[in-house]
Amino acid sequence: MDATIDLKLFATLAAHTPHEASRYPITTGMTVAHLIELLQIPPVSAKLIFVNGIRVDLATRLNGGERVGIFPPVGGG
Amino acid sequence: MLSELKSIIENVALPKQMPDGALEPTLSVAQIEELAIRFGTDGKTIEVTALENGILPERYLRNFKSFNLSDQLRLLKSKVAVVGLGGLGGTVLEWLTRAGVGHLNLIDGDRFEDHNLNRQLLCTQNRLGTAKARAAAERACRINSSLTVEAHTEFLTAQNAARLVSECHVVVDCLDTIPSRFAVEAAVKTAGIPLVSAAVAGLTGHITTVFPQDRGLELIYGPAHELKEAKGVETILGNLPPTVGLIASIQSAEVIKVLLGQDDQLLRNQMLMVDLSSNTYEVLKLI
Repeated sequence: MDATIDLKLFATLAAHTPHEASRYPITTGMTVAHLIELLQIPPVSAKLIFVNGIRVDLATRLNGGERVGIFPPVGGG
Repeated sequence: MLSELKSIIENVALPKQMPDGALEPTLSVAQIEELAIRFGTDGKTIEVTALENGILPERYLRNFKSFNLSDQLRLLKSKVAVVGLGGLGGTVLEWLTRAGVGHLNLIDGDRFEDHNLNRQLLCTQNRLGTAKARAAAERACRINSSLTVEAHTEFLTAQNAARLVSECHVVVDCLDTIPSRFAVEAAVKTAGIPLVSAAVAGLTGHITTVFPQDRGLELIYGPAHELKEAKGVETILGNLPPTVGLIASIQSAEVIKVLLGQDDQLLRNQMLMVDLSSNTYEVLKLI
């Protein structure tokens, strides 16, 4: 069976949310950077990335089954 | 004077029924004001003396027993700087004042503009064009005249930071640009003071607590020297009233926990993320 992730894109990135984001298909071992590219999110907008609730960097590899959250910078008051 | 004050407070304190039915001696706002005039002192001295002798100022009755008498005394003896008195800062000020945080340094060089009216509790039509720090100080004094309130109508900078946060137990970052947040963080790290920082955009917001030895805001925004933009996506999404109110309330609770020494319950190296569009509330680990 193909690997999937549970993907959540927040704030302005929500517009990039793909169909069936909770079962988004990935290639096992792909990096977070590659995922962001596939989703057509400008790298500067993907400021904070969490995998299973823990902050990760762009080189982190996904194996399927993870919860992935991506945030743009938020700075208002 | 103190022993006379103590015995008078004990004599005039009236037992009030607590939510659990127990009777506790309390002092009303009117009694506090009268005693302050009679003893030529301030309301805070009266409240501190009362609390030290097991008497609860009635204004804090509904804080009890979540805050016991020694918690309330600790809050009253605390000093907090609120940096930025817009959306987040105005709500933080409201809750810290009502909780009974004894000394507030209110810092903002800005004045109210029309576009503040959607979310900033301190901003009313008659105050447009006036200084935010002065409005904040006035509001705090109207709610709780026992507090010490300082209005600083200047922006916090590397040059004035040491003076503005001097002797504070916590600094609250309620600013609206990312570089200014880093400037405050640098200042409080130098001064050795914890920082509670929050930010909002649209229906999204987050809160974190930074102690001087923590990596802090770079875990959220990346290293300060790599910042490309001063603002986040609030330039696109705006700042919505429910988000600002909620995030500022969580920020206030975090400040109070720091003041009460509840160190194991803080958002250190963590970020509470709230997204009201998808109803997501999650504590995320930053390291």
